[in-house]
Amino acid sequence: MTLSFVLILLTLTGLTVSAVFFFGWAARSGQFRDLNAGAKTVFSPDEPEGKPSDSFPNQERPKL
Amino acid sequence: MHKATILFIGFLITFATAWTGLVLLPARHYNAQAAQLPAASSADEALIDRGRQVYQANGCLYCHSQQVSPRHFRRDQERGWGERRTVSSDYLRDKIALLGTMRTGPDLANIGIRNPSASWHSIHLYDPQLTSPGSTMPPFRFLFEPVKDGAVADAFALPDGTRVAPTADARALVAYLLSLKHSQGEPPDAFEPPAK
Amino acid sequence: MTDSAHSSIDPVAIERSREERIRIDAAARGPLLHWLASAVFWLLLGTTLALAASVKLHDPEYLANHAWLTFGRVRPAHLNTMVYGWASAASVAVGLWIMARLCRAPLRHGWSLHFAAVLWNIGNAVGTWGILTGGSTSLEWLEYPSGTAPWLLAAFAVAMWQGVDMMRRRPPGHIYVSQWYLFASLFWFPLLYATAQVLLIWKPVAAPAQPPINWWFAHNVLGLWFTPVGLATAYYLIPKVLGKPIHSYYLSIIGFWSLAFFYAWNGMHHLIGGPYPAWLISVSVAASVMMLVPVLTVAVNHHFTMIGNFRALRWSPTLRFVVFAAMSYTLVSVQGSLTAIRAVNRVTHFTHYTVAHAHLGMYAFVTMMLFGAIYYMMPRLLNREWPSAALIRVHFWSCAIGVLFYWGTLSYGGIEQGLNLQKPDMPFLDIVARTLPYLRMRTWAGVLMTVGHLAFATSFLLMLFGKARATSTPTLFANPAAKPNPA
Repeated sequence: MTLSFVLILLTLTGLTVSAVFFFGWAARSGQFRDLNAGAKTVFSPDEPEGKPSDSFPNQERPKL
Repeated sequence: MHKATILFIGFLITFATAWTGLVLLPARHYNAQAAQLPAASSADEALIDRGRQVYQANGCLYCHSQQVSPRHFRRDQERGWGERRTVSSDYLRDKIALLGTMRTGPDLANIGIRNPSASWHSIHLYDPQLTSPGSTMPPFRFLFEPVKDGAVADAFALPDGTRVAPTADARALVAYLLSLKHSQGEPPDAFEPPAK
Repeated sequence: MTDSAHSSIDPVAIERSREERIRIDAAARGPLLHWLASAVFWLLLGTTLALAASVKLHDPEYLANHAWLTFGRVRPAHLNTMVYGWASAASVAVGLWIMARLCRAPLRHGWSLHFAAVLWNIGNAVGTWGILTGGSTSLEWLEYPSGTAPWLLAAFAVAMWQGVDMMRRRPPGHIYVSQWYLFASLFWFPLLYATAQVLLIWKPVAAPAQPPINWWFAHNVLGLWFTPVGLATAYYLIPKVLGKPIHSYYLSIIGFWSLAFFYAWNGMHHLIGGPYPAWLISVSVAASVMMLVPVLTVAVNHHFTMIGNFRALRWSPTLRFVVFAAMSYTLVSVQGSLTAIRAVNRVTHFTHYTVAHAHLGMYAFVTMMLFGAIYYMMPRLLNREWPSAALIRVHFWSCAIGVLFYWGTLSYGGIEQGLNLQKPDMPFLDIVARTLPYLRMRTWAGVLMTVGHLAFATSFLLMLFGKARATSTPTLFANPAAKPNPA
């Protein structure tokens, strides 16, 4: 029974400490700056913004 | 320190203390109480415990709850499902609190009080239609076995004349059901072990 | 970070990015197809168990004479194979692929994921067998017998390690919201699962303390494992398919952190009116209502991104599933917040309404989102087109109509059931009799959903075994064979 509580306390502490660490790190490393550019990280030169990338099989991709 | 970090530390301390309050402390509290209870020793207790395992193995929980709601909240008590709402200490002596989340079938918290007939439960388990026509509870014929002679005490006759008797698992399950008297009398005092 | 506006005219950058994408998809192929194929197997088994369970509820004599097929075993077998065998396995595959894409990091040591898939499948097989043979723990969402957890945790440890490995190799700069959700969920799920296993199964705490822990676990599996995977998928695939970035992206950051904070408190709303102190329940009810904050930010985000682009649903199979799922997320979450309110809960608790709500979440949101992701992933993993647009359409419409019919009829029936339970003079068997038409309708909905699953499985197998026609029209999926290119 004591083992369970020790595990829980360790888990809780670990979770809390790591969450604080990650949030702090994110703030410090500029993750929350320039969110407009951030939104575009899903794109790349060969799958660029403006080019749809799905279609039904054997059908033309229409322009959007 | 970055302002957002301070704010966030605040959030997480609140989160951690809430979790401690919601999960950790209740668990410690009930464990301390349970530790004071005398261990089950009689053969009856062993049979009831086996019955609980049969209840779990066959998923009775998925249709039956075992908790009586407060009088002002639901009408459980007017249905005869209990004299009072169940509280945490009602389940202190159980190995697992089979509270359930569905009432496809009736609540069973005090079934041992409102229906104490072992033979009714046997017949009902064998084929619910025999006692409760229109019920959607499945038959548990596989918990029974046919008997040829009249030597078995709790054997019963089916409508077509054949006789069946409960297996050990069925007897255990019935004993478990009859032991369910969760909302009887005053709630057990959580700070004192209930009188044996 | 490359500025896509400039690089669209730089052929070297385009070629390099194309090669990188091919490498990522190629490295993912074997291991993730193993996970996806496993997931589809469990989906089919779970569907069979679902149909059996549904019929048994209105026809109790159906397959009733065998212990291993009794409703009380088939129902948890269905739930666990769907949650762990189908949805979690598909989530691992989809999650790792999106991570690989966003981290620009091909999966390494693919053998470890193959090994993990084998462990995962063994765990689910042992668990399902255990339930059907009478070993269920009777703890909801945790019914697999105790010997199962090590297999599942060991397999998941590999997935966690792979996630960390890819994050460490990511390019410098912005971490996209999907990466946050996925990375966090890879840690949250095993923590939840291990905690629940220890406190409920391995070294069980006292009985009264078990239900709160049980429902803390079950609800957090939804909110801290499946919801993050589902939202990460939507945040990645909606802009990818449309070619347009998420509108109001900053809202997604707010959504992530508020989800992480509020969600874990919700669990007690499964126990309203139960044998617990009022303050415990009230905290959960409050948290459940506060969930409207992250949920509505997500809804606004997705809606504003899709506004003006709904015609894309005509030509994108992925988007149909993803948008349906995203809307279902909003619906089920708002429904959840309302259902947690005591005045509503006193009627709906203990009824079929809850089951309908659960399926709106696990199916209309999670499962449909995973379907959408698989439709996007597979052609890129295999360099082939899906064999048949017709099969995709059958899949979508059968499942979309099926689940909405499921939810609508069973919610209505459940509310009626709940109102009847509040009439003490109404005999219980009368209440049961009145639910039967809705239970039968649920079976029909299930049949429709099964048709969809069969269409999906057919497409999937045809894709896997290369029966799809290679396309001759230009597509966006680069075929390595078409160019001399070390993939």
